[in-house]
Amino acid sequence: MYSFSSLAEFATLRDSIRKELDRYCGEDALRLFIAINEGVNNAIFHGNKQDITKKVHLSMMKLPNEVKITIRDEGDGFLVSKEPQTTELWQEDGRGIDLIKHYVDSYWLNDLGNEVTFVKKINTV
Amino acid sequence: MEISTNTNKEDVTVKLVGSLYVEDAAILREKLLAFMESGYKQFIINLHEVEYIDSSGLGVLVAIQKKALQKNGGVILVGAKGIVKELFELTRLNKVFTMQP
Repeated sequence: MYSFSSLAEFATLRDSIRKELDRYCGEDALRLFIAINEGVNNAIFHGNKQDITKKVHLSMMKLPNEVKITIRDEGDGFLVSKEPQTTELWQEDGRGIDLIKHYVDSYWLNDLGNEVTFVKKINTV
Repeated sequence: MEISTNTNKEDVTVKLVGSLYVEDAAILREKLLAFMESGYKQFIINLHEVEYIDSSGLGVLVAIQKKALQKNGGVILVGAKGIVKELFELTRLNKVFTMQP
């Protein structure tokens, strides 16, 4: 479990998160890291609104055939829209959720909207 | 991320090295907007040594492209490969920029 309260703090953890993902899922590690990075950015900026008295909690769980990621912020629950979203081509933001959805196999939010969980299947051959 | 720039008449060549995260995207935006305010409108961005660009970095490049096009300039992305190329294709931003090998 990683907990952090700012982007600067998260930046110091990126390398260890990537190394942990390398151990879990080899060649899929970078794509799963992309999903995590986008989810954490959403939690810091949209969830906690950069309030450094609030934390973001990231857990990464290796299961037999998949890796399960949970990102929870301490905001009021506006992590992302639950509606399907297609980013307009010339829009400057909003691509993070699209990237998460692309790079994971399943994705869901809690009812409050401050916790996202996603699962990436991994090859076990 | 390392961001280095070189100017030539109306062009700015930008070399990026490493991973472009949200904190780097803010720096890149400020640098490129400053060049734009000085009259530059053509940006050649060298991505050969870029490992990853997050969505905020993609957004900054879109913002610069929009402003540059308004001034009859533009952004040319050179050398995107691997996951970086994949990200531009996945987001269809390869349609927004001139992309060169």
